[in-house]
Order: sequence, then structure tokens, then C-alpha cells
Amino acid sequence: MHERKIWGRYLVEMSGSLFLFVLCLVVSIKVGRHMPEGMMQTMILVSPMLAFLLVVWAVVREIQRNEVMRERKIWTRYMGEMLGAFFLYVLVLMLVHRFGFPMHEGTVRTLVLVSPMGPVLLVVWAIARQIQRVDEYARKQVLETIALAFGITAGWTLSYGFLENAGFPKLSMSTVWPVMGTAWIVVTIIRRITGR
Amino acid sequence: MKNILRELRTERGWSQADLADRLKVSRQTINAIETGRYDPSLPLAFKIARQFKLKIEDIFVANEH
Repeated sequence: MHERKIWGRYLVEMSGSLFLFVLCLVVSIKVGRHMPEGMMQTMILVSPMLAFLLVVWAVVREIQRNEVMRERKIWTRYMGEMLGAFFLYVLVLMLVHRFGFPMHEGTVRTLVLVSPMGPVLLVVWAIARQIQRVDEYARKQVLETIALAFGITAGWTLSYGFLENAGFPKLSMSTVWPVMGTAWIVVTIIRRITGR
Repeated sequence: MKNILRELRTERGWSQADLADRLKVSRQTINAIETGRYDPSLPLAFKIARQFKLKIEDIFVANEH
């Protein structure tokens, strides 16, 4: 029960700060870019970075709550690598939106627009390292959760494919990732609550 | 598989976190083994046995079908 309470607290802190981060990112991209230059625009463009600090704070608190020394060590290292890569990704993304979009069409512009994938490779590297570090049970749990999320995503995207044939709006291929990410989070929460 | 890990641990006055630290695994792993939700790999079972200075079969017993 005590563990569930702690985990519930982490869930609230993490989802709240992530929601704020995504909100600031959307406002910064959709509104900030079209605003006249000035103090207000700078504040809106910088706001995702400040919200990101809240995400970091939620992660640090969760790591501090872990009683096992070794766990604290490996999660601190993982979060350091992950947050560093994520921070770099957001930074590159913002620079691309600021300077990449106004560029003239051509190979250079295409390369600039694809450049956020550099930090994404760092994220993949951090995940691969962490999978090597965690113990056998954690590895099994993660793989099972990903398999379930993969199955849900396959079912969802296939169903939507049929709905597109029936006249539903065509969606971008990149919408698959948010679906899989959401499925992953939902499966993780359900498994954690039910203890399965 | 059944096991007496919880009994062995509490006899020594260790918490799940203490045992996890000694075995270099997570507290969730200890909890999952104790509650029978997870059967450890052979290397981890040997590690557990060594920790308690017992044989694997003294700690783990296969379910009879």
C-alpha cells in the first residue's frame, strides 16, 4: 500500500509536469514563432525549457525515494543520459523551428529539418545502455510491456487504416509514435496497479 | 515454484531493499520472487543460495502437478 502511495505521487508529479511541458512546447511552436520579437516572445519560446525543469525535478524525487543504493545509482545515470539527450533534442527542435523553416528549399534545409534525429540517436543509446544495466526481472517486465503496447498499436493503426477507407481523414505516419507511447504508459500503469 | 525467501530474509532482520542491495537487483525483483510472481534465473538463484549459505533446493521447491 505504501509503495502504491509513493508511486501514485510520482505519477501525479510526472504527468502534471509532462502536461505542462507539452503545453508550453505547443504554445511556443504555434504562437511564439508568429509573435513580434520582444520580451514576451522570448519568454514564450523559453517556457518549454522551464517546464522541462519540472520534469527533471519529478524524476529526481522519484530516484531519491528508491531505498536500494544500486538502483538509485543506475537510474541516476540513466536519467542523466536520457535527460541530457532530451534537452538537446528540444534545443535542436526549437532552433530548427526558428531558423530551419524560413530557409530556402533544398538539401541544406532538408538536412536542417531532419537534424533533431541526432539527439534521438542519443536517446536510443541511453535506452540500450540502461537495458544492459537493469536486472533480469526489470528487463522481462519492460519487454512484456513493450510487446503489449506494440500489439495495441498494431490493432489501433490497422483499425484506423480501415476507417480511412471508410472516409476518415488521412493521418500522418508520425501519429503512430504518440499512439504507441500512450499505449506503453497505459499498460505500465495498469500492470503497476494490478501487480502483474 | 515455491520458496522460503521471505522467511530467510526476515529471520535475518533484512528489509527487501537490504536484500536487493546485497544481490544487486531491484526491490521489485525481491518482492516478485517472494510473492511467487517470478522465478529467478539459475545464476540469480545461485546468488540467492550463496547469500544465505544454503543450497538452491533448500530455498526453492518445484510445485507438484
